Amino acid sequence: MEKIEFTAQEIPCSTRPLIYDDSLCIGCNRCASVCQCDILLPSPEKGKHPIVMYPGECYYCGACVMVCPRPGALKLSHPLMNRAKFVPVKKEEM
Amino acid sequence: MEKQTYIWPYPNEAGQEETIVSDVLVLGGGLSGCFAAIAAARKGQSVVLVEKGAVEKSGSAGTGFDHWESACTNPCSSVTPEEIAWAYVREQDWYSNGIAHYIECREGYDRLLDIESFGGKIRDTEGEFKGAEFRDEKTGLMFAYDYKNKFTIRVWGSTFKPALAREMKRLGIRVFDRTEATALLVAADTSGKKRGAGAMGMNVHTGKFYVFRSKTTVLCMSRPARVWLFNADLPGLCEFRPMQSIGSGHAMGWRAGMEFTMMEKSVRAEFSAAGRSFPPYGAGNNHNTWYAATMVDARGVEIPYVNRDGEELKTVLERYYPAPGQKFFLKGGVIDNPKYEYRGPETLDFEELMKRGYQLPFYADLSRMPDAERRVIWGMMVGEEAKTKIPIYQNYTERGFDPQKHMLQSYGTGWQSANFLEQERQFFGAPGGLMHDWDLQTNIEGIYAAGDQLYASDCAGFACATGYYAGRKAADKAAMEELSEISKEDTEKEKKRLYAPLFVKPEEGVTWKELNLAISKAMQNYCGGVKCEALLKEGLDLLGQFKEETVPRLSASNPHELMRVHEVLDILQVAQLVLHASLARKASSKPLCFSRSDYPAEETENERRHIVIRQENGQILTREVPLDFFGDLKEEYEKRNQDYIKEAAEHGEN
Repeated sequence: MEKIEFTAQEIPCSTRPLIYDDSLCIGCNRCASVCQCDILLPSPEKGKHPIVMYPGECYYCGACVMVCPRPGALKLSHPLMNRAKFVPVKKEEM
Repeated sequence: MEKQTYIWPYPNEAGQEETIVSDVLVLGGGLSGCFAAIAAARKGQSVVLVEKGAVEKSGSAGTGFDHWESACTNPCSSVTPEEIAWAYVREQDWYSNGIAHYIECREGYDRLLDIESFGGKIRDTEGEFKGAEFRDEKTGLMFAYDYKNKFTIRVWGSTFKPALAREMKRLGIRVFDRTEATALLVAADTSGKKRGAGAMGMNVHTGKFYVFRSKTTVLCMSRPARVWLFNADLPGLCEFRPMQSIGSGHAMGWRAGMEFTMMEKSVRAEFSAAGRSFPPYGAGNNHNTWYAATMVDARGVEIPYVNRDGEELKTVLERYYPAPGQKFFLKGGVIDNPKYEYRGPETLDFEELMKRGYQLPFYADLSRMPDAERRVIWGMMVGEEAKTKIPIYQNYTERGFDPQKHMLQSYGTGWQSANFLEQERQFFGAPGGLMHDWDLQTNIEGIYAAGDQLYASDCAGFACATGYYAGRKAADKAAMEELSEISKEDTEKEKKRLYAPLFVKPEEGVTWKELNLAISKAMQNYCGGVKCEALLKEGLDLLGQFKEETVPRLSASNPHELMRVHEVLDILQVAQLVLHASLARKASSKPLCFSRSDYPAEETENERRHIVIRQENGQILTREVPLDFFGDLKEEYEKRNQDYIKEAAEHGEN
């Protein structure tokens, strides 16, 4: 078979599901290893956080955060439209 | 700014081929697949499991699930497997998987004990809920829904997948993570009878091609998705189940000539967080995980719960008990609007609430509930269910949500917090799937199925119980069989099909997203709420055009994109199957949520039947099967499972 060179370009979308904190992330790639949608690619730079290559394909399950050994290094954030509203409880008026 | 192009970080193995041999091959590594593999390995067979994600956190319950239904044999249960299995059959007007439900009712609790022995958490070992009405003080088991009959168990499902992954490793099961199964291998004996010979697949990081040869195969992949619902911007959010769970097992089964039933059934969508709903379990409601949350209206007036006779319930605890004269009630994944016999406590109908002057929006107000009930919903159930631990529990807590101080809004007019259109459809509420016999074997000898691949499938307990059952039947069969010969022609053809999109230049090609968008729009137009022959045929014609003209132009730059392309090709296959199944049922049927404008008359009870469908060399073949084909559940089960019954008795568990 003819050899094909694989390449990848980040496919942007309208949201940012995952945000890394560079000061905490150790680049262990545990998040990339469990993501079942496989949206993360290990960084070409050793020790850096993975690249969120396919953010639109995030299923927002949080598996990546669950396995992260450095709490706070990775945050999952819902699209703005999906942040359900909550309000202080009301005393019954009737 | 020019977009950065990255060099692919994984080895390039496109074109390389490896053959892997095992006794039993399991396709799909969710709950059902893990249990199928464990069952077969316990029987001493060599087992290979193929999973597109990574088993540690993959599948519908990859990050958790919170309650296990139909655990009829747990020590606190007051119901029998027969009572609950038959209740499901009757509740679903016999368009129900009696065999699978009975297996779930009969063996489900054994699987929970298995999970516990692997390190999963199934009971309140720390005494966190000591003294709560739903907790059995002797066993620490905690129950949901019906506190009198105690057959639904609250569980810490986020611990389950890692535990199953560890156990598979311990048993020496060879797991191929990041490997998608793409086609079944089928051999024919001298009389032309088909039998399973394994499967083919591809590593989605390296592009390496695999031939998996096996004596028997268990299909444990997902139900189809993204057939009507697609969002090219946020494809990961457009369905309820994980992004990559799109029904490839159905598609490859159809291509191999497998029989399906009820594929004409689809429901108006209930979940699509890219569209008209919110993150599952993340909006105020009082169903499933949130049962039986206190609901209030905009003024803060509490919405009454009523029993099946319409009598208002005065206390929170009454919401968890059957009505006077009722033995038990049904609640759960596929129970939407149950018949009187099985109906449990529920908030008043929306229309009645409007008549009485209740005002939108509604909210879930846990602050008004007893402490243990509040903590078990917010903190245990929300936290353990599906994708709630990080996305809902942790995120909302960080946003400041305190269930003692805040109430969470409910959207739209019902508990689903969603407002979908009739043509926006989904496979939900016991959808169609593979037809099978009492061994969970399909019409192709040596190929078994479990979990969401079965017709009228349900929840986690269903997946685990049927997975284990199919795994042990597949192992018994493998012990008596030899490997079938496979044809080089088949593997070469599949390899060519798999790699083709890599050879189409991106600037000249079509992306997987464009095709998925076109399919979902076509299905909304030609197979929406109301169907008729001309419309369905136009749909088939259009999908045929996509296949002829667009499929050869699909392009992929790396194995990840190639995986997405093949997912959409499978979605196209399933869409065609749905159109054929819809054409074959010449009647309208409420239980199947199926409406034909050219056959508007509702089928009578006597006319109800399975229309089983398959294709052979492109020809569509159907046969009719009575809905009660499985016979007496207890009798038929016991005829075939004396070995299991004996073994379980020796372990003192049954």
